[in-house]
Amino acid sequence: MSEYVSGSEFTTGSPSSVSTSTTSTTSVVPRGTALRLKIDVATPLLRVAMSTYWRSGDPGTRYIEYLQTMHMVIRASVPLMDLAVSRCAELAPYEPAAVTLRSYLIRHIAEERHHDDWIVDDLRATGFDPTALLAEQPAPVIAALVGSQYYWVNHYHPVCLLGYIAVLEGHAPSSQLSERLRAATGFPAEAFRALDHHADVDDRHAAQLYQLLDGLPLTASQDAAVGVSALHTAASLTELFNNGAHRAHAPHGPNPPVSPVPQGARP
Amino acid sequence: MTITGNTPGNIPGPGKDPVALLEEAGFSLDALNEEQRDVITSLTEEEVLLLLSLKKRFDVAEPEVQAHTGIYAGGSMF
Repeated sequence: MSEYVSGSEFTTGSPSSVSTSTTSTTSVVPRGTALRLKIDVATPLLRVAMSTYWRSGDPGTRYIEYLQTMHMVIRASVPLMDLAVSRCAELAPYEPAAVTLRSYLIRHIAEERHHDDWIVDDLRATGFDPTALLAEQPAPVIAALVGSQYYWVNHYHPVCLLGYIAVLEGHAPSSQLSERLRAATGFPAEAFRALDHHADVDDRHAAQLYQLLDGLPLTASQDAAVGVSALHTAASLTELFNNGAHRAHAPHGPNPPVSPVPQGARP
Repeated sequence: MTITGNTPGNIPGPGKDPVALLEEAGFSLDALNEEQRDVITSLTEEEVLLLLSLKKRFDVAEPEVQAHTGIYAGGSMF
């Protein structure tokens, strides 16, 4: 088992100099446990943001806006993993961790594929015209949340993606949220397929990720990069939900629906 | 580890213990056991900066709001 060794030096994390830092060992904690702990430090603020979001404004409007936002996020999930798989293939001859990471990502791609399509179906079940989904430019905070991963995977190391996945899957919708939204919105059960699925499986997915991390032979710099990626994700996600809550409380109310575009049209 | 040197204010860097910096910023780390504390002590400068920034930007919730967060709602998807 690879372990988190306390006392590691601050590193600059230069992509070309990913190396194991000098350490002064006082105790060891599995890498997955260490990452979970780092995320836990940020979690209370994220929880407040999520809770505030769900208690703001009209529940039906909230839920439709939420699905639109999540579509902007998760339509990039499989493409991000595809990119990371390609980068792992490049690194595999030199880094054993890249071989293991690539196998994990290939399995996870199969588990996550087409979930963005589920959201489209869920939106349709609420009565929202999903042809509007691609007409709206994703907000800067979404570009910061998702786009940073494209940068780090492409220009630093694909292992960074694990920090992103750990936070997103580790803060999945609860089953109670789904029940409450059904009651509050009156939307049919067909409108909650993506929400129910993620409530059901993401805890297990997150546990699998932490288990993977425990066994990955990462350098100290790569380990720290996963932590930075996770905390950046937590911060961006907190901002995302805060912004949504503020929009609901703004004098002009939430954003008006985007005008539908013809089927198949691109913005 | 604790880096030797001096950095003024609540900014990570030489001479700053991450645990002390985070506690100064208002993070509650009292419940950590020794192993967990070691993990936080070993946070990189960038990780500490991210946490401090998060706290500074978003720790504005009213006590009433924080009191209502006992039931976990969640909401992120991957």
